[in-house]
Amino acid sequence: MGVAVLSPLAMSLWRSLSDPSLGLVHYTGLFTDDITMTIVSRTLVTSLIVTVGTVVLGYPYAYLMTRVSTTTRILMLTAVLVPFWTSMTARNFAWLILVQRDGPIATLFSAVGIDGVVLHGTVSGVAMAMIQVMLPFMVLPLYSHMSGIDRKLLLAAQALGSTPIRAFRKVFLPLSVGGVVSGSILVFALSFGFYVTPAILGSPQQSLVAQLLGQRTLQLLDFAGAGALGIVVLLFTLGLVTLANRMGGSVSALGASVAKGK
Amino acid sequence: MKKSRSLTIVATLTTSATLLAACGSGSGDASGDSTTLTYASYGGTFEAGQVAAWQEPYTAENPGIKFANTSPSDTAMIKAQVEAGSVQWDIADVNPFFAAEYCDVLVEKLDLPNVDKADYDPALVGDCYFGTYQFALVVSYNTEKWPDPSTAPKTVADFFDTKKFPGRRGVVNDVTNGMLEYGLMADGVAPDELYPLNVDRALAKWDTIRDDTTFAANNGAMLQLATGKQVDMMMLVSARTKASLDEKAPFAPIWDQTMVTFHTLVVPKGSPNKDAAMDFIEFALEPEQSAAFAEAAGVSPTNKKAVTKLDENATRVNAFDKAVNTGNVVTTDAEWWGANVTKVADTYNTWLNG
Repeated sequence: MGVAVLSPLAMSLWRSLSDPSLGLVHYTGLFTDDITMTIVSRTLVTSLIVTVGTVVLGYPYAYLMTRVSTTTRILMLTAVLVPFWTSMTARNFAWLILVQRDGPIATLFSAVGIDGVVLHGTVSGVAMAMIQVMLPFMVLPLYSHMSGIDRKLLLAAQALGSTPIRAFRKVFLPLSVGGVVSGSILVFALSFGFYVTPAILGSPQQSLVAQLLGQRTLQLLDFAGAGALGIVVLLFTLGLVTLANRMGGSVSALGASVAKGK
Repeated sequence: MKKSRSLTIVATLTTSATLLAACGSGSGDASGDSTTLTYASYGGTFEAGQVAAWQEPYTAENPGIKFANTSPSDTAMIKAQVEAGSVQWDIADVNPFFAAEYCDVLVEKLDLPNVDKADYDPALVGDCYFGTYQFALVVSYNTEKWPDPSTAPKTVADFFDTKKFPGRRGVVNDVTNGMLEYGLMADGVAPDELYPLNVDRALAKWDTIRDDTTFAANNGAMLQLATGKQVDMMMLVSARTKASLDEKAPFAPIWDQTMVTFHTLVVPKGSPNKDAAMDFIEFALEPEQSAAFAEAAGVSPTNKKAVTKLDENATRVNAFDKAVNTGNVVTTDAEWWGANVTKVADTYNTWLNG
């Protein structure tokens, strides 16, 4: 497994440094070609919006999942998993119909007097659809983490005079930060390299990193340049993960919360 | 607590399973006593058309030759195969710019002694490419937006004139398909003086309508925009323009100057079945096979002796029918594009994202 993952990566790295001659030309190129940094920062902003969006929607949902009966919980889990198991392409095309010119969203807005809301081809449209696509990746680790929090702690806080809201804020919220961080890492890292949604709902004028990578590889056959970009994206993601780990979350929190028997 | 634990495990497992499933894989093929040619094209009904028009009749004549089909014929795959020294594809349907750029590097020089070049437009023939089918980038307008033909857009210049003809424009995001040439002709460059392309001038022309234009990711997306009436004027390859008419999309072609590009079959450098592949390419270029595929796929044959029977909508978008196309056709310069495609694509992408 390690060899299967690492050896192509090593080859990619070597190629980005040695093709056509040894040097950092492909890396310096990324910072000086006018286009890469524009696209990288656009992707960063989009991924951030998606991450925040999934936390805002996913946190209350996951919390509710810990508070309801088993039957309801299974229903809620199914509601999260069904779109998760639906074809990614089908979901994105469904979004395309919603956001296109004269589509339901545009019609809705023009009914309240705002004309010309066409989200197709915009970063907002892409972000909105990506939030829906990424939501399971936030809800599942959040739920996994929250279900391990001992609710007796909240009762104890209340017994010591806390209001329920204060107990939630002072006890539950800090304990759930790990889940938020691991969900956020997952969503952010996946969003950063996401291809399907931007390809279908975005526009080539607003391309994100994955599209740029696709273009370099498939259209320009610039394997070395694409390798350099890929390595930079990888390093960047690893950096974020390290940072998040220091902040108290853990990428492996997904599995760890089960393993530790929390 | 036990129930909720198992639920947690399900949640965790599902997440990891989906992450793992994100990686797909292709498959190779194994050959028996007969020769199997691995053939790469574009999938779907398009590739099915090539199977029916070229491969099946070829196997009927040469029972020892079978085909294994794969798609898409990404040129990056050819590069990867050739560089890895493990060439799996014997024949690939690609654009001629790739073939010209990597002639004798990633693709074999074509060796087609039985083909009479006089039957083909010289612009379609090079050392490593030989136009197997051609197609136009049809400029068309929405007839609901401009119902009266006398006041409807008539020229390529009208496409770029949003003052006279306000409305959304649509084009496929493929810089090699003829969009730059259209920009230059609209700007007053004579069709026979297009090459070498003045890319900056072409992009400056596109700049004037950039905010009114939807750049579709591919032909399928552009077709979607057409049938959804998301654009008022568009540039789309003839086969897909026909498909939009089949879906009752209200579009009519503008016959002024029409850009024509073509595709070629190539043999990846180092194919173990090079000779059989060359023989197959010769077969596919014969009039009957050329016409059969053109009819199936909505493209045009390159062999001048090929005679096609087209349905009504295919005829309406047929740039090669003198009774339909009252303007001229301009064929792409594959050699110029082959020498410049990488640089131009870079310039274009920077412009598009700038």
